[in-house]
Amino acid sequence: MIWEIIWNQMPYLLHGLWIALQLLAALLSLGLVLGLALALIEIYGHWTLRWTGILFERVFRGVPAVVLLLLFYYGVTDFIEMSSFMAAVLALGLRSTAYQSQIFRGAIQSVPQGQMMAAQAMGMGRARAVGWIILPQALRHAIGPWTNEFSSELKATSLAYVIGVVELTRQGKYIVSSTQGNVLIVFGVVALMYFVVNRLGNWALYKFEGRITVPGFERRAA
Amino acid sequence: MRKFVMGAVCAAGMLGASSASAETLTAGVEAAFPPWAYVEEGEYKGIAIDAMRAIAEDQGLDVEFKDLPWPSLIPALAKGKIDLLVTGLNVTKERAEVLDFSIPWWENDDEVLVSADSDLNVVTALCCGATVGAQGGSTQFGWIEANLVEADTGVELRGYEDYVTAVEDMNTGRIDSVVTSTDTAETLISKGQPVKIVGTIQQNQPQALAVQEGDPNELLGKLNAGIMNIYKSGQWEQIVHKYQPQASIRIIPTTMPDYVDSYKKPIPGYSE
Amino acid sequence: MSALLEVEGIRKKYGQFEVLKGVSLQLERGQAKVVMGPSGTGKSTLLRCINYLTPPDAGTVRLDGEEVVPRNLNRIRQQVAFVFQDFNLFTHLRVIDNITIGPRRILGLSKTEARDRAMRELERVGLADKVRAYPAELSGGQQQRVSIARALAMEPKVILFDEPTSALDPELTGEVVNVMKRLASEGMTMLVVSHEIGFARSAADEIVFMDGGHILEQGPPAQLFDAPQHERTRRFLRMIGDQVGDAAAAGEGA
Repeated sequence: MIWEIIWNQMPYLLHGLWIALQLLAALLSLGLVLGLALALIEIYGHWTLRWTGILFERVFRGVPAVVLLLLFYYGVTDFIEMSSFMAAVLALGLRSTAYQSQIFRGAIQSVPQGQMMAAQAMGMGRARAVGWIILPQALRHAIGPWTNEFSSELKATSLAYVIGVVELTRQGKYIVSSTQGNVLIVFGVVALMYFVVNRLGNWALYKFEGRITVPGFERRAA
Repeated sequence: MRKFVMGAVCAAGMLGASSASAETLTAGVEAAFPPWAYVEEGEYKGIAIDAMRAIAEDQGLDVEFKDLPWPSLIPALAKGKIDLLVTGLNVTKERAEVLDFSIPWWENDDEVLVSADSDLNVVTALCCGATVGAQGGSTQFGWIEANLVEADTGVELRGYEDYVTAVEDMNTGRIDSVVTSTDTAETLISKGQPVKIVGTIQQNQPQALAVQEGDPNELLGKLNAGIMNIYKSGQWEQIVHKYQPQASIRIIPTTMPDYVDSYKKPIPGYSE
Repeated sequence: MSALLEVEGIRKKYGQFEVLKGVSLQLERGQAKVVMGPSGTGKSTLLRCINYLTPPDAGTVRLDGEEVVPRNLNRIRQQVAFVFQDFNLFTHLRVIDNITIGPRRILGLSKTEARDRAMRELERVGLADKVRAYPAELSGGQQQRVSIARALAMEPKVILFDEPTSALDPELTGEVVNVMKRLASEGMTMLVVSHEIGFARSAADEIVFMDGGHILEQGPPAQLFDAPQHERTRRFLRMIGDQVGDAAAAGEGA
């Protein structure tokens, strides 16, 4: 009975998953671009920029995701009109920016000083040295922790329903409420879907890491 | 859908056609609240949904539904994120201060639910060390808090996001009883939840639609007229019986508490 | 005719501690000079001050008569190659790309030109078979030879060597020293901070002895090693003679 319902509802669950994936892709991309920029600013920038960056990071890491979602949907939209989805992308994306900037900052700082020195000693300017020497190495270090970020943001998308983004969790809730029960089975299926996406994402990222790994960059055991 | 809307907005912008912007109203619903509003097969369903569609047709309104979790609905209306609230919304004094109600179209009592195999009665279910569940922010939650918890009856109150989780928690033995509105209780039972009603709390609790305080979009008149029209045409009864075959239809408007400003005469769109 | 590299009055302080107290030296075209002295005496700092990896507090550096200033720094550095103690090969790049990146990205050579040049320099250091290897796959001695090839590929006017063998196991120093000897004999202009007596004796035109942030004495190897003027120099030579003599011998045998 419930399996039949779940089977019939699968298109809606998949649609919810699709919304969740779109949200995930958008927020991770936003976080990637801004997080990398923020990391570079925090390492190489003027101290005023550096402190602004650190403040941004502290704020967005210190506030719970649900609160950020509500703040963006009910607060920021007073000034800029946007949909629930956009508000979710911004709230979760900026939060991810803070986390990703930490990942990238750590990765950049783990590149030995000598690499920058060798590049500069050749007559490479600092910006070009960052682009050709530092970042290609740092990004290899970053993939491991970035995989964690992928997983935790996938889970965070399930919070977006509080501002009206009908994603996978919400679609699951619809089935629960229209059948008035089956919480365990329905959310078991939903959990399985998150799990599969998470494993697939991790698998792809590890695969990618393997492809760009060169001797000297093997994933550390820890 | 979003793409379609965005496309339409772009097209309208390019043509500079402002006349075509027949304003679409956004109706906030909590789509996990049968029989009033829920989603099945990707479609919004429920008494409030169908009735709202009928009213919209009757009054020439263009309405789209937006699902928000229950605790978000009233703030969203107050903020103008949605234009009206369409669900099984109880009329209360606190709410009347932040929004304007349409004429009430329903009246509810509260039911005390226990597990089907429980031997608690209405007294033991609400007293003396019992743990009682209700939806957080609901009128039931407020009622238990004000009348049982604060009266030191030894009741512990637990809030849930919805009644399904509350009932499942009761069936696993984590709480003793759940207090819901009559129609929620009937829906739970009709969907096969192993629960039984051990008592009714007479509330005569009116329910209505709601708009932003002060009715800036001048919707109340149309909503009230629409409600009366579908009531008189028999459409209302059809809709209610589609979802709750046994429900008795009450005379609309039901009780209109005098603490509600929008029930002070003249009531827009309604005359006796 | 002025010297190729003129260093004048270089001073550098770290906090209260003055590492370089006004150091001057000249390097003629084709000359190989070796800088020696006790550790902490400012030899490496001097080298870094010359190409401004560590900007000096005072003093000037001239290459071919042109004074080094922040504005022309990157252009000067293209002509003053630097070989590091711990190689600093670009970890993520294959040997070939480590060598071509400078010529291609900085000097603007075409891909084939840069590649030809890289192959020529790799053959010069005897590692043509390691083109496709990554730095982590090479021994320390091989890495240092690649880094010398990387320096050579920029076709610099002068190469600065900062203790090029001191991070190597004793049995690996020989291969690096041999490459450096060959460069010296081919007329490469080199300034080498090193305690390799073997190299200093056979390949250097002049030895510079530094102590306490000053140049204490300088002269041809025969004079400085066999008839040092200063007691400090004598004591230092006795000390490294004991320690390095064996290692150098072992290295040359390899």
